[in-house]
Amino acid sequence: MSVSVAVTGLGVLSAFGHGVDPYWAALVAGESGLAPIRRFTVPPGAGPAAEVPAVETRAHVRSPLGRRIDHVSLFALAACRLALLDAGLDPTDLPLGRTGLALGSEFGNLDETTTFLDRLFAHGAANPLLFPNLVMNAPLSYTTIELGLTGPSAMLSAGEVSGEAAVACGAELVAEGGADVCLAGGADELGEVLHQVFHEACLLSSTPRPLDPYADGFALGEGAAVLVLEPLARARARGARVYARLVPVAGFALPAPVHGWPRDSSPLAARLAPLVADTDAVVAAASGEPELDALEAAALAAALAGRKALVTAPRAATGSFGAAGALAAATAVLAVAHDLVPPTLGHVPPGRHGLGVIAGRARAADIRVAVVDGLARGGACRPLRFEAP
Amino acid sequence: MAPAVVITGLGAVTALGGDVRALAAGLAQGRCGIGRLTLFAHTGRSGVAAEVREEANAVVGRLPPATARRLSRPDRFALLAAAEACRTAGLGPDLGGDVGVYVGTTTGGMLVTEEAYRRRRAAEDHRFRLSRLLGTPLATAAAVVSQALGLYGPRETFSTACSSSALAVAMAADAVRRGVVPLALAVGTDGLCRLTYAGFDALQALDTEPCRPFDRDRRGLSLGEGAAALVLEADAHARVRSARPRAAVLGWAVTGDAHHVTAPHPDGAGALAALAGALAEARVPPEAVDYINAHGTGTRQNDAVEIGVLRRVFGRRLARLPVSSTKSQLGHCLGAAGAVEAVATVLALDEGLLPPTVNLRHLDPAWDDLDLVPEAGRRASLAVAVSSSYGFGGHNVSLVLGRMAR
Amino acid sequence: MDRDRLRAEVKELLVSGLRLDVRPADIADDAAIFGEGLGLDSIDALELVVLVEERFRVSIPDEEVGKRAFGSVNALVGFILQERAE
Repeated sequence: MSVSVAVTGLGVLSAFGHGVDPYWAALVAGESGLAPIRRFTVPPGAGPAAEVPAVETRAHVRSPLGRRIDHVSLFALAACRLALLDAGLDPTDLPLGRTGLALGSEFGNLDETTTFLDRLFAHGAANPLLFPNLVMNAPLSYTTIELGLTGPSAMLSAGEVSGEAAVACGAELVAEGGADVCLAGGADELGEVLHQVFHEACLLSSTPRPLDPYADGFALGEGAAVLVLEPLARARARGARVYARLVPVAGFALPAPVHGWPRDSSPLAARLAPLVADTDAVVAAASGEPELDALEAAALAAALAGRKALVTAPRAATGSFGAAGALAAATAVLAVAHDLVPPTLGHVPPGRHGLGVIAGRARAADIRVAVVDGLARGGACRPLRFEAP
Repeated sequence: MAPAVVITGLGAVTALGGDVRALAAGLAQGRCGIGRLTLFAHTGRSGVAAEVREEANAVVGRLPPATARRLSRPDRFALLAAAEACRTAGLGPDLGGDVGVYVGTTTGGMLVTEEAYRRRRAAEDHRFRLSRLLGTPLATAAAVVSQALGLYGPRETFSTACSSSALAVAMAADAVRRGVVPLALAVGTDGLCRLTYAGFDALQALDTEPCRPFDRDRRGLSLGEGAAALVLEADAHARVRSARPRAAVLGWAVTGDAHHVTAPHPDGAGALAALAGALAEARVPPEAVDYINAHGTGTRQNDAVEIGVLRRVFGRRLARLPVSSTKSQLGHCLGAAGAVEAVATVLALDEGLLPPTVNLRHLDPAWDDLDLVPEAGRRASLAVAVSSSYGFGGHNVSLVLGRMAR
Repeated sequence: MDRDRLRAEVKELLVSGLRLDVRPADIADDAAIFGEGLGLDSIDALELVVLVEERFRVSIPDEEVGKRAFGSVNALVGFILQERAE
């Protein structure tokens, strides 16, 4: 017997700062998080990216071990702490054995991986301090250690839907009674090697234009978002603010090249149709990458079949990264909570296929249902559905 | 009432051979698959590993030839094991859309990425090509299996270090039990790479000789590689299509230690909660358990903590309860370990054969009352078995498996 | 190299190499490196072996030698000087 799942807290680290308030304010105001990259030297002509303002280790890490924490783990941990604070939950008061944790990341700690390999190739010696940080579940380890969580946990890596996958996993855990509280979300960082690879592959753009016929590439970003999920009844009983309900829907996959986007939009349209039949808002995966945008626009237009849903694509403002879907989930939650859909930067109407893409200014509307469609290379789809409580 | 989840197909690619038959034969003979490391140069303390000797039996399925040619080793392992599991489960090439794919892995195509990165550092290659980094996203193995075999249900990739694919089996079973999917394929895969080899060696966690779990002189683990796959479905679903269940998944539990990034909790609190939780969920009293497929890495700490946990759960009965570590034959396959050991445990139940702990020549005196199945396996009638996996960061998964009534 | 400068260098190496959240000057000369104070664990010890061997060109072949060398900052300085003298 499954129970209703409430979203009662949000923790966001984005280019707009630390916390859900600066994130939502900037997104609604149509600000861009993109700026010239400062953390590392970039090749001439490299475009902007969305960097998260430095996170102070000491503000979030309490255990002696924590001094060794890597960026991605720190992002995840900080987002968890911020989410608990936002939910009015004291970390020392959590039911530790009944608190779940589901985190997602696409590349994990790629940055220290290359540092580790540098020493290995140069001296034949590995760094034992670094190694524990390189396993994909390092964010899970540090967060459970810092918060003392002993309940069920999972680290997921699902390419571009790493954030959505973790949020969905957490929702199932709560819905099926496996946890009384669950922190669910994802984190990824912008690293020099990753940037170099995407730059050299000519996939990046200085002016991403999601769902726009003139889209010519995406901008990289980084960040983390974590949702606090609880059974709706528990949230009501403790008088918590309920942003939205998260209604579990099944993930699915489509025929696609192993590293590419599905070539045919009609199977996607068929799978999305029941999901968007009553949807007021869609938080799209579109990033300005022409292939993805074309696929998503065609599929959404066919699935909506003339219904007008408000579509927004926040990756133009927040940058693209593996766990960006966790920020998309936060965006959908906030759209439901505030009856407001933020604009899509860089998009000039009319967009593809007559989709109702919100551009320019945020749109106020009654948002009872918001969907994140959640698309990844290789054909994995991990949609999320949020409803007004 | 939730349906019983049964296992109807098995696949495995290990140091003991390229399929389940080779694995079963190797386990029965007590063969040790750990030998000299040949895949790459390593200048540390240890030089042994359980490598997969690849045979010319690659599966391509629906993959374009160019994609199939470029698969990383762990992706090839995963595809071979998945195809074997589907074949033995009697699933045809056109399974249709609903089969879920649940993969556990830790480093994916890291060996390829390492080589590309080394070449770029050495200026042998002026750039670090995207195609070389693309093996690294861990979701690749699941995409390969899904696209090659045409499995279009939910697709998930779990990465919780050494418990990754035990978690994948648990999550796949959960999806079947809840009716999310009629059929699920759980896969664990990992390939040896410099990162993990040098990393474990730097932690002084590798034995310089083939690992000796539970031995007085044990000095660490031996790394291995490979893949294993299990087809899971609801009992009724299997009956309708006349598939023969090899075993049932009775219960599982996932817990955290919240203690240390590499070391297990000294009291094994999380491991204990996982074992007790899985037995409770399976409604199996401790006295009904007939065999434990231990995590049994061969490190001083793990084996001591693990036996301590078993003593607490099984009490004096542990003396009569066989416990063995198949890592002594297969090495520690990291992200693949949970699935590989689940397959070994199913074989033990289904074929009535206890796999041994090889290289166990001098039993640790603290455990001389226990049956750790040293050196040689033996026939035994087993009804219920437990397989546990413990990952870095204190991530614990226990699976309870049961023999089918005959 | 004189003992004071070596001592400062060792402390600097401890802080940067092990990512300690203290100033080098705050590390006591005679306190146990692996006692309660700095919150170091066995992984730090392994890395410290590599760091010290690389920086000071000395050899710490086993746990026995390691225990002696890492007794305190002063012990480590003494160990390095003695190794170099040999």
